[in-house]
Amino acid sequence: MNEPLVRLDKVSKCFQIYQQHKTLFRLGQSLLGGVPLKRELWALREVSLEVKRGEKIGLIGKNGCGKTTLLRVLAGILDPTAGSVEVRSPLSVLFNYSLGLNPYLPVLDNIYLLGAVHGILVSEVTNHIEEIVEFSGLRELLYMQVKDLSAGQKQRLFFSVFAQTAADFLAFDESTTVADMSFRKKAEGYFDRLMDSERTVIIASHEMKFITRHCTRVIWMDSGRIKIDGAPEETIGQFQEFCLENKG
Amino acid sequence: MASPRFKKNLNLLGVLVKMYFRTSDYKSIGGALWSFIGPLTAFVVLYCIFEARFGKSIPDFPLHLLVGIIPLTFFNNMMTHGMRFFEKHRDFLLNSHVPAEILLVSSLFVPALKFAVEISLCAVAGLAFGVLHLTSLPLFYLTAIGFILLVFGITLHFLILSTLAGDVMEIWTVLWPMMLFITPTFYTVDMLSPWARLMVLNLNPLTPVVLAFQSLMLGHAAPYFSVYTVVQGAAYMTIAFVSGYSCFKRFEKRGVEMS
Repeated sequence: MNEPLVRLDKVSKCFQIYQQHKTLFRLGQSLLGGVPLKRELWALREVSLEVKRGEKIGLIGKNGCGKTTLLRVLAGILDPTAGSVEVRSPLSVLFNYSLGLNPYLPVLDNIYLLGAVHGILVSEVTNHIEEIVEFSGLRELLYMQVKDLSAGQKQRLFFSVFAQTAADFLAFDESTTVADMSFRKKAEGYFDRLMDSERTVIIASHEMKFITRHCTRVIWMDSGRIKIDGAPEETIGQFQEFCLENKG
Repeated sequence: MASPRFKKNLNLLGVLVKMYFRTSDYKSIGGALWSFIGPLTAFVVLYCIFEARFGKSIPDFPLHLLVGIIPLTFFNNMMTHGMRFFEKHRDFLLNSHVPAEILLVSSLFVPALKFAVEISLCAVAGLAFGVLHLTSLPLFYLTAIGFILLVFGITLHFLILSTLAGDVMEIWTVLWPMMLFITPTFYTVDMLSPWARLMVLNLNPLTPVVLAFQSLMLGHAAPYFSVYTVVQGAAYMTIAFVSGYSCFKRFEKRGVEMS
């Protein structure tokens, strides 16, 4: 039971970024003539981290500091370039509401699609469909094509289905700010219950109030490295100070 | 007892296949008929142009032509769908645990289904005209399954190539009509010059299958169709499928990053 749920040991992740439009000719030039076609971008650099079961962790840092890449590595979506990753329970992540819904299918069908993507069986979605529809507040729009929904309504849809995930290890990537005030209240209720539960949660967010309220530990990332890993008030305080100093 | 992971993946495959089916032409009878317009137009045009020149010397020319056009159309459909795979499914692959192969198989289901329906209609025509024997039907469908695996394997290679070089899709669009001429659809192989015959028989992986379809459909061996052609076709299928799948498995995560 004392065994950590996650153990990262000097994990680095490097992306190959193409410098120009990749064509067959340039690919040949690169393979035969050694003409560089891409450059390296290190999104994570020697990140070492342990997460215990039941911890509620906030992940903060500027845009592009490596938060999303870290979550993708933890979820097994991306492989690290170096280092080792041990995750003892599969991680379910709600990524910034950018998962591909099918715009030409009605809301109802997309509920099943999102459910399947998050590992929820059709029968389980059917059993919870009332709950999902009620939570989303989209009852009137169930048979409308998703392309006709507003951005906020799509967020409601994503969030309501993801809230049904039974996984023990969850993460939210900049997906805690949801829709309008009425839905935000519902979402807050969900987060309150989640934080009181035994489940392990990682929240990547720019909302410092939210992180302070819900998390027991905060990791500040900067340029792909962990800058500070500590108590919420202290870490957030230093991060905010750093942001003010580096405003220009 | 199926593992929870297997159950979840099967569930995902079912939902995705249903989704692709419902957003395709096939969701209604009118739409399904509309989707036959492509091969039908190619058939009518080629028939009108080549009937006078080749129709006289090829027995059952319309069926010979039809059973050649349908696999070619399917090949092109799979290639165009497959080459856009990473580009079209980037959000899914980067933001969820959806296994790439489940997404790929489900996205290619509709073209494969279309091919199955078209080739079945072709078989019905063959039976109606009395050229295709009922006893040949199992072999006919076995050839169709082999062809689907061959095309799937080739598509996987091109999918990887088009992710590495963005213009492969455009090059394919330009080169695709050439396939019509280097595959024995409106002619037979014995009509070709020796060097052209050598090229069509040995450099085009679709030739053995098209010859097999024509031989089964018309009830007699097409020119230059032999045991060697069957072995060659089986070898092409095995090599394309096994190498395509293993390359795809090795490449999938890189493909997600590069898309």
